[in-house]
Amino acid sequence: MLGVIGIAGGVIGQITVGAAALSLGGGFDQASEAVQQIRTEVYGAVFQVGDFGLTRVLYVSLIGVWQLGIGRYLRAHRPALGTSTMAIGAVGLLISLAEAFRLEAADDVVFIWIILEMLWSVWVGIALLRSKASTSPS
Amino acid sequence: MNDGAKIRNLVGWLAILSIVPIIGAFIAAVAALDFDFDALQDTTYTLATLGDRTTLFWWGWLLTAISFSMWVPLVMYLCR
Repeated sequence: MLGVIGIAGGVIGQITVGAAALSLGGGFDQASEAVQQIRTEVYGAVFQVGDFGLTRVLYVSLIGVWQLGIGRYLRAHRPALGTSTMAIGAVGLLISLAEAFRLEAADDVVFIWIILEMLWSVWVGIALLRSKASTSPS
Repeated sequence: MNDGAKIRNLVGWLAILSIVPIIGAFIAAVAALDFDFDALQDTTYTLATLGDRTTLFWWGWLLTAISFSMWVPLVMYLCR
């Protein structure tokens, strides 16, 4: 449930930022300086809520907690995958905490975390496709 | 193939394919900003730089959302 709530937060956050850029960025060059400043401030506020709040803090932290829990379950069936899942979950939690406390280093580390999540997703997918008899990814 | 195996295979493929939109998203969003990574974080710079590439930038964020959505069945399957 935490994972689904986290994903919902991330999806809403990303769509909101994209929609704000689309609506505020159109005709930006032709707008007066005052309007440009207002648009920039509005976009900055939406970015803070959508990308920073909903995605970097809510999405990353809830996915991290979920991965810690599901990793513990997976360890019983596939020790390497389970341990890696818990490790990536712990990294995600640390990154979301660092983001919440506005530590600049988190901005750089979050890209490494995204790559780790992509590799994890492929690993779980392959594990599911290769599992035959059981319905769990063993 | 029984229904359980079909669902497992579908979830497995969705998990693997979820990396496609995230890669597309990254390319679209950064390409819209002339491949300037720092510009993604600079909200003041973003709107001024995008110009007629706002649609491409929007697609970048939309693809990220699609990639996140593709994880929903995986999360639900593993937690069932």
